[in-house]
Amino acid sequence: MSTHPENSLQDSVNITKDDAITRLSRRKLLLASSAAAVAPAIGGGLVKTANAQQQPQRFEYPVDREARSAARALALEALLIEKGVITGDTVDTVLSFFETQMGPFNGAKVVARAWVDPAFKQELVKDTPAAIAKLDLPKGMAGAEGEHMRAVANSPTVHNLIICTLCSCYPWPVLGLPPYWYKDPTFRARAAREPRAVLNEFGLNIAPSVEIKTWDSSAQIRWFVIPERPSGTDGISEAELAKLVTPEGMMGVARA
Amino acid sequence: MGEAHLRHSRGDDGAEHAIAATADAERLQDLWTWADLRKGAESLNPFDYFKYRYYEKWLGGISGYFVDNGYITEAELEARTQQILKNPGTPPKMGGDSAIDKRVVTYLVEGDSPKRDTNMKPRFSASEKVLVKNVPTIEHTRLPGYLRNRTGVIDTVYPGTYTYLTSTGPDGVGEAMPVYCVRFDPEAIWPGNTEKNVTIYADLYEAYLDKLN
Repeated sequence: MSTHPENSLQDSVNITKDDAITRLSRRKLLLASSAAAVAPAIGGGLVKTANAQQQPQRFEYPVDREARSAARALALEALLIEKGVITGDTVDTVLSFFETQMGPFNGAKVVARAWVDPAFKQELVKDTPAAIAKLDLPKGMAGAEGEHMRAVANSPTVHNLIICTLCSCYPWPVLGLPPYWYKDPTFRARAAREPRAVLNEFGLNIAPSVEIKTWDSSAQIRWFVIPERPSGTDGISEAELAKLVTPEGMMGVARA
Repeated sequence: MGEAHLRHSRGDDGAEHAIAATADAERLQDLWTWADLRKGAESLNPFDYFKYRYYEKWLGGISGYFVDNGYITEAELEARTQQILKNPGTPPKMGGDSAIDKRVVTYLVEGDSPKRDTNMKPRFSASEKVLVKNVPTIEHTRLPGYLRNRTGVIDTVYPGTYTYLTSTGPDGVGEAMPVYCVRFDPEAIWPGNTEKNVTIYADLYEAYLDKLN
């Protein structure tokens, strides 16, 4: 672990090359962000530091905000470890769970099976947990935020879109943790009122004749989409098909 | 209430003795749920809500929880933050009671279903028209604002009854009750200001719905 902010920033560039994703890269990322706050002392005052005398304006973004938040996250974790509320491994345990056990790689397998097996697809729509339980997937497919999942299938006449206007409800076991834009207040509001326009901005043009069904997750159900099988994929194996399935497809903002 | 959230109760030996050193008996009953996170975000001034990024709201909410409940003080959090800003390479202390991590994994793998067996019968049936109430929300709700006072049609009556993580008081959810998937025509929600050939579905607790007179 580097003690020099410049090196930390340099290290963060290599994050994707780390196969041990957990402790090292996460901390590097936060350290790189927090290191930006000390940059003025080193690099010559490009970043304006907060002036305690100045009354902050309601709309003002403190320039060191990201750096401070990153440092504060590290500080909170360190304090909670010291007080015994969590251990030195807790945060990484959770992160690695979503890197290796629960993520869109599970959803991709579920969708690929639905593409090759119409009876499975039918059951997946009718009784999602029962259908998923039949597949050889990691333990926990009915675990956190997957206790009550429901799949909806796209067809030539219907396109489905999942949203959570209130917060960020998302089917963790099949999709992992939601991407940033899914939680963005603007996306949440606009996807409810003008889904066609929003999907267009994602590069997805849904014909006026195709009905858009928007599923707002506001109680116990966590929704996901079974996209249509792409054309020209006849004869491709189930494992190869799974590689074509994207998280965006399973949220309804991409074709597959 | 579910068992599996990050919690510190008498029966939770993972965190109990560590917390006991610094907390009084009352504090051992603290229960944190996802609802606390949502409440924290929803309590922000709207300007701040839209200004802060998602995980900044989380950070504010979760650190606020630990400060309010006496696990840490704002002063020590700020001091440690400054220390990390000055010395970004300082590694955190490692170690701790592995039972805590075991419990976290148990929650992730087993989940925490809000489904409960009760004798309650659903008040509404499929295809029935319903009116969404405008309930008096205080600090937290699971009723999207855009659906209040609107009419919809029951699409699905979910089997069983469902709790919510916390009581929302006069807002109406918390105890087990039926939940429905309700279908809405966006044109009835935003007349003349939405798109054609779109249907909105929302999962709503029974407390949020009324018979349409």
